[in-house]
Amino acid sequence: MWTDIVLASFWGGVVALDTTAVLQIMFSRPLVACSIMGVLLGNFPIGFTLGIIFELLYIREIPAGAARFAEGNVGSTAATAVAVLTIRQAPSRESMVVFLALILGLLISSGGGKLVSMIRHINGKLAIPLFFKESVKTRHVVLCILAGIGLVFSLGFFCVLLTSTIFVNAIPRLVSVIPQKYDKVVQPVMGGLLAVGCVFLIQLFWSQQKRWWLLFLGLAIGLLVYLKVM
Amino acid sequence: MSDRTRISDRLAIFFRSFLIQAAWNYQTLLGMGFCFCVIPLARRLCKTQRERSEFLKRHLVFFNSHPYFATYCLGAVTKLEEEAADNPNPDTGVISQLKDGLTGPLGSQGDQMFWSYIKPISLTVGMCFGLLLGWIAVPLFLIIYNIPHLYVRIKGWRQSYRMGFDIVYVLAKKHVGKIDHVLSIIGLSLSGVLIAIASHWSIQQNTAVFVSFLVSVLVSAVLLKLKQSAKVILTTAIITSLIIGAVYTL
Repeated sequence: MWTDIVLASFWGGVVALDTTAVLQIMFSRPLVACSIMGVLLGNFPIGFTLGIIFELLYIREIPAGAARFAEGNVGSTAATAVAVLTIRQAPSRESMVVFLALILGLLISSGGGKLVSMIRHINGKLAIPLFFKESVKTRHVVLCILAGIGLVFSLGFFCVLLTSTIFVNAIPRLVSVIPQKYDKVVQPVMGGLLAVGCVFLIQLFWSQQKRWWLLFLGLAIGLLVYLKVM
Repeated sequence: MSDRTRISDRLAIFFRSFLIQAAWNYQTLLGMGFCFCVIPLARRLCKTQRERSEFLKRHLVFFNSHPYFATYCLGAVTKLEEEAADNPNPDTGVISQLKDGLTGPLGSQGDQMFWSYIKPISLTVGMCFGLLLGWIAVPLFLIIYNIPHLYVRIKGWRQSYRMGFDIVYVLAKKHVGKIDHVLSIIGLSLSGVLIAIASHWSIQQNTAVFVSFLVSVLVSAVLLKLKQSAKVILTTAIITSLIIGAVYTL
């Protein structure tokens, strides 16, 4: 279990780095990050499902300039780690665990955004002394960059580590006191959140292109594609 | 100051551009990252520590851009610094002017193109395939997204290094309006495709999930129209889904 938690935390750190600090080739997006977390911990289907739902919920988040954004990437990665590790302990309560993981992911993402802002303030505190230095050396700049990378990695690493350590033990206890008949009650939440994500996506493009026929054309194509494939 | 840069220096600057946001801060935004990127230039062009320190200080200032489009500025700055190194009385003010002049266009064009269109479109394509065919969504999204990403980085670097200061005029003339228009049409149509596929996915789960999906689409659309926050919309969707689940189960 501890090996898995450390592995998940390491992946959380890498995800945090790709979000803004390093590369930004988008393997940090929930669709990819949660799926890979699922593969790493041995349950791809759960990681993939959570990835799609979280992806839609955070698709309109724009990490541009000084804008504050919800840290959906690390939040959803942490929630996926908790979900996969908890389902191992309570395989018959998958619906309930997924529901709790979704709620957890939304909460961590909200808090994660504040931590990103805090890291940016720390980066500023490290940078300011350089402006007043008489002689700036290349290693000063390199150290600031390394500190920035270290801080962001730590954010992702410890976010997943703490979340997993706490909730992988807490959720099975919580689930054990909730009667199993309620599992079916929480199942539709997945559909509800998927719907919210779809509406967010439409809003993103609707603000640029207010044409109903395009949306209906897409719906028709979607139906045709589905019927053809299925 | 002496020799011009070598290919290895220019490659080092280009690859360092992948770390341009590593020390993002509210004082200089990407300024620290930009300074880090041009370190190979400082090592090559500045002979003494004093020259190097002055060089670094000149670049340790406010700079903002979309991270992918920053290569447009890095290439032009590399070219101008090389020219300044050849000049016995260099005017480094031009380099600062270039950076200031590019800050606006590089930020707005990049944000609009990548964050508003290419990222959501490639994700939507990925998710459509994901709901239909599974794991293929992951590599598909990464490929679709990173082709334009790497193209912009490489083209930006090569074009601006070739043109130097003149890249400002090229970027000023560049109209991304038409591309944006096409991308928004593709994006909205793909949203429709995704809704159709997502609704079928929810039917496959069970009736309650499907009903929850339909009701939540309507409720969320109304709440968005009423300008409610994402938290309110999410909470409402969760509560609505739980009520639907309770009605179907208990």
